Amino acid sequence: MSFAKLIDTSRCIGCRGCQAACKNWNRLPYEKTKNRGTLQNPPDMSASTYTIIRYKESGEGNNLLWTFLKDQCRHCVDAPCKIMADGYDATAVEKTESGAVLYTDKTAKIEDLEFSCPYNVPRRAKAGDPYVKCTLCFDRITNNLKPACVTTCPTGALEFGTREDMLKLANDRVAEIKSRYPDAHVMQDAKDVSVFYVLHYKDALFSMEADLSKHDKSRYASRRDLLNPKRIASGLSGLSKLLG
Amino acid sequence: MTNHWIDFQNSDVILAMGSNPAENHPISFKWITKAIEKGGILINVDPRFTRTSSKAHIYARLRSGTDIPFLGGMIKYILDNDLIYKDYVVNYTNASLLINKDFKFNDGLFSGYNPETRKYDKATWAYQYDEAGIPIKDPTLQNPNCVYQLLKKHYSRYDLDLVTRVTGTPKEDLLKVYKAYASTGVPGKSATILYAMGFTQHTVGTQNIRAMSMIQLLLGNIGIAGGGVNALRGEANVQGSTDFGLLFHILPGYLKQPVASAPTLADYNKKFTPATKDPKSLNWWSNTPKYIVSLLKAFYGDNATKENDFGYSWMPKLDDGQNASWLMIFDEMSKGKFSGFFAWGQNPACSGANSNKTRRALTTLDWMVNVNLFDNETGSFWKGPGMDPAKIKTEVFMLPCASSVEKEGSLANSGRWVQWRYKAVNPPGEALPDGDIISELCLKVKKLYETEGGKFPEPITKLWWNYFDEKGHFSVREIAKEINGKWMLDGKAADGTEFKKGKQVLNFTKLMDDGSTCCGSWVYSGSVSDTEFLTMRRDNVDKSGIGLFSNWSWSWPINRRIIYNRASVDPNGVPTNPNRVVIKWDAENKKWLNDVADNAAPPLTDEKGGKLPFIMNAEGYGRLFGGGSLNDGPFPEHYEPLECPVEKNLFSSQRINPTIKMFSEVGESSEGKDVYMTCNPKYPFICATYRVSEHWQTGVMTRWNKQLIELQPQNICELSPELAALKGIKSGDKVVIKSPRGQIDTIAIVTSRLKPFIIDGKTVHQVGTTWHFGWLTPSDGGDSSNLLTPTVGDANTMIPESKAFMVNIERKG
Repeated sequence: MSFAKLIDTSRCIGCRGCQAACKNWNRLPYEKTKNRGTLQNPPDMSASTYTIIRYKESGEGNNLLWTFLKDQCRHCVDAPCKIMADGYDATAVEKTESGAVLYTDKTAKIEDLEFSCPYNVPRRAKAGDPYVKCTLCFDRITNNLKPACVTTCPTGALEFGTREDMLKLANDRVAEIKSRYPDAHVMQDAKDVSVFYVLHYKDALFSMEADLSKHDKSRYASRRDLLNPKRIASGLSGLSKLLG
Repeated sequence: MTNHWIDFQNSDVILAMGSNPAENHPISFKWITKAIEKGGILINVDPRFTRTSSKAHIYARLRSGTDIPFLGGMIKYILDNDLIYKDYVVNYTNASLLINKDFKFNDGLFSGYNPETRKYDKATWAYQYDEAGIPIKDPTLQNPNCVYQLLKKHYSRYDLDLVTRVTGTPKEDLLKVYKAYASTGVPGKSATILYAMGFTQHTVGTQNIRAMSMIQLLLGNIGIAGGGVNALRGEANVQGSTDFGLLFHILPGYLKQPVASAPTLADYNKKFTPATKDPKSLNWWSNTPKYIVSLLKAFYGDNATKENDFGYSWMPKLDDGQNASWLMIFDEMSKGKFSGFFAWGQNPACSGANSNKTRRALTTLDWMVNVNLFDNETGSFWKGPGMDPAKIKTEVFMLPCASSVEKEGSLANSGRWVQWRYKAVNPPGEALPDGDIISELCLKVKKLYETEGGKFPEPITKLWWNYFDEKGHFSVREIAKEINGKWMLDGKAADGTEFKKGKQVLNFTKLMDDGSTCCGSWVYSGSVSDTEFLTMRRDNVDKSGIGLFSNWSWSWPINRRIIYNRASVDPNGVPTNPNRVVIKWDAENKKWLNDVADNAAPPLTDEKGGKLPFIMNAEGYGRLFGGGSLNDGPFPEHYEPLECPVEKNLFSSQRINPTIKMFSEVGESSEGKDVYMTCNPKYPFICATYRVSEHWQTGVMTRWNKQLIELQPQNICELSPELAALKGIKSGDKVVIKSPRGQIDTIAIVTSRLKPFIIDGKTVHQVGTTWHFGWLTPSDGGDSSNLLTPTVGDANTMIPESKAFMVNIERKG
C-alpha cells in the first residue's frame, strides 16, 4: 500500500504542534537556539530537526498575509536522492512499498546527498555521519498508525492515507476553498512526491526552498549512469532514442 | 462559557476579540475551522495581526484599551439600522423594562457617584415596579425611561467618527465588522464571541464583556447553538477553580462569601437571596438557603446542626466591601501584614502585576511554602536579581507535587464539561497529588488544634474530613461523591421521595435547607450517582444533531450543554432555528427534548407554569441594563486605561474608570513602586503582554522543557517597522523595555503585523511582549514582563491591567 501525506496550508495555524510531535516520536535531541528576530525556530531543518514550520509575512495593511508552511521530506515517488545514492550503494536509500523513502546508516559514505534533493532536505550532524530526515513515521504507518505530526495537528491541516485518496482529497479541497482563495492549487510537484501540498495562495507567498527541476530524471542520468555500469546501456539507448 | 468549543462549528459568524485562539487555544481552532468550512465568517479584532488574523475573513486593528468604543459603536450601528432581533429583545431581555426616573448619565458619570469613596450609590440604577411588585414594561419600547431608549441614548455618542478617533480602527474596517456581525440578528442565524484576557485585563475588563453580552442579547445570540458568550479558558481546570470558590468573593457554586454584616445564617440568607414577585420568573438564586446549608453540612458534617446555624459562625467573613483580591494580598504583604504564605501551583514572582513589588513583598514573610512541579522564581525569590540572601529572613519550604497525569480526579474544561481523568504514571520521588498534601496538612493542623487549642479552633476541629477509601488512603473519589451531595439521614422529601442516609443526592433540585443533605458545590450536583461517576462517561455518539455529545463526561449544571437554552425557542417552545435545535417543547408529553432545558418548566406562554429564560437573574430577563450588578455602571462606558497615550478621554471628562482602586505612591519612579505615567515623554509607547503557543503562563511548566525552549528561547518585543526605524532597531537586536516600575531585556521582532495607530490625529505606537519568562531559567531568556505592568485592577474583579500600559524601548548595545 502506497501512502501519502497531504499538507493543507489553508488550515494550518502555525502552532507547531507537528514540529514538537516529530521530535517527541523520533526522540530527537533539542537544539540550543537564539531568537533571531522571528517566531520561527530552529532556524532550519537539521540532523535533530526533521520538520519545521516556515513562516512568511508579505504585503501591507489590509493585504497583509502571514503564511505557514510545514517543510519536510516529500518522499519522492522516484527519489532523486535514491538515484544518486544508488550510484554508491543500492541499499543505502530505500524506497519502501509504503511510499516512505528511508535512509540507512550506509548513507554515511555518500558525499553531498543534499544536492540531489529538490527541497534541500537531507541533513547530517557532521561529515562522515549518516544522512537523516523524516521517515514518514515508517514505524507507525506500518502498524496502522498515522504519522505523529498528523495525529497531533488540531485543525486537519495534515491528512494521511493512500496516495490515491490523498490526491483526490487535495483536488477536492482546492475546489472547496477556491471561492475564498482564488489562487488555491495543488502544488505542481504532487505527481512526483508522497507528501504534497494544497497551497491557498501562490507558491511565492510561502517560505519554501524548492528546485523542482531536480525531479527531472535526465539531470541524474549522466551521474547515475557514470557510476552504475549496469545502467549505462539503458542510458545510452535512451540517449540514442532522444537523438533519433 | 455558555456554550462549548465544539459548538463553534454551529456559528455563522465568529468574533475573536480579546483572544487569539490560533496561538493560545489551538484546539479551539479545530471547531473554528469547521465553522469556516461550512461557510461561516471569522472576524478578528486585535491590536496586532496574529496567527488568528491570518485565518480571518475580516481583520480589524484597535488600540489596546478601546474595546468599549469599538463595541459601543457596534451597539449604535445595530440600533440605528434596527438590526435587533426584536421578538427576542422584547420577550427575553430587559429592553422594555422601565428604569427609575432619577437614573442619569452625565459626562462620564452615572447617577449616585461619590468622588471621595470612588463608589456609586446605585439606588437609581433600578427598575420601576407596579403595585404588585412586578417590573413595569413597555413592549413598544417607546417609553423614554425604558432600557431600550436609555441604551439608544447612551450609545448615540458612539458615532463612527469618534470611535475611529479613539480606537484608531479605520472606519471602513469598523463598518465591515459591524455589518458582518449584525447580520445575525435574525432567527436562524448565530454569532459567537470568543474572548480571553484581551477583554479582561483592563480597568474596564468586566464592562468589555458586558458590552459584548449586550450585543449578543440585541441579536438574540444567547442560548442558541453557535451563539453565547464564550471565555476561552487559558488554564486546564481554571473553570473548576472558580466553580469551587478560588476567588475571594465567592464560595463553591458561586455562593456569596459571608460578610461581617451578616453574622447569622438568617442574615446571610436575607442579604444574599434575591426575591421576585413576578410569577414568570424562576429566580433560581431563591434556592440559596438550600445550597449554603448543604455546603456547610459538607464542611462540618454532623457538627453542623440547626441549633448552631449549621456552623455558619465558623465561616471566615469579609468586612463589608472588603477587597481581598490578589493585588491586595501583595499590597498588604509588602507592608508586612502576613507572616506566612502558601504559593500553591502558582508563580506570583512572575505572574503578579508589578512583580518587583511582589518579589519585595515576599521578603517580609517569615515562611513560605512553594507547592509546584518545578522550582520557580517564587520559591527561589531570595536568590533572584537584586536580592541579598543574607538579609532575607523568609524560610522557604518546597513541596513537590504530582502533575495532572500522575493523579486521578476531575477537570472542568473551558465549556464546563467535568471530565474524570485517570492516573497514568506514579509521581516521581516524594511528589504527591495536591489532595494528599492538603489532607495530610489538614489532619496535622487539626490535631494541633485538638491538643493545643487556640483562639478559635472550631473552624478546623469541627471539619468533617472523611475522604478516605476502605484502605485508609486519601481518595478524590470520596470528595467527588460529597461534591455531588449526599443524604445525611433517612427520611422523606417534600415531593414524597424517600431517601436513605449516605445515599447520593439525585441532583441539586433535591437539596434541602434543613440539614438533611450535604453538597460540596451545588452546580456539580448530579455528577455522581450511587452507581456511576457520570464524569467518567465516554460515549462519543452524538444524538443531538448539533454536537452536544450529552453522554460524554458530564457538564454542569445538570448536564446542560448550552446554558440559557430556553432563549433558543420562541415563547411557545418552538426552536427559532429549526436546523440547529437545542431544545424543543413536546406539548403532548409536556417535556423538553434534546439538551437538558434551563429548567423543566413549560414554555413562557404556558399560563400556569411558563417561565422566562434568564433564570439566574431575579427578574428573569437578560440584562441590557445591568442594574447594580457591577461597580462601574449599568451600561459600559469608555474610560482610558490608567496609563494611556492621550491627555483626554474624548467621550467625557472622566479620563480613567472613576471606580478603580488607586494604589499610587508619590515621588519619583523606582523599581516596584506604584507609580503611573500618562502622556509622559519618558514612556511614550503602549505595551501589552500576551502568550505564544509554545509556552504556558509564567513558563514554569514550559521553560524547563528544552523542546519548548528550542521553539521560543527568549522573550521578545514585537514592534512595527515604523517604530523600529524611529528607534534604530532591527529584528534580532537586543531591546530593553522600560516602564516606570521596571525593565526587561528582550529580542526585537520587527514586523508589519504591528502598525502605528492614528489616535485623534496623532501617531501612537504600540509594542508587545510575552509574560512567559523569568530569571531562573533559561539564563538568557529574559525576566518577567510583569516587572513592567502596573498595580491596578478592573473595577469589579481586580484583574490587573496587563493589556494596556506605557513603556519606552531602547536598543541595547
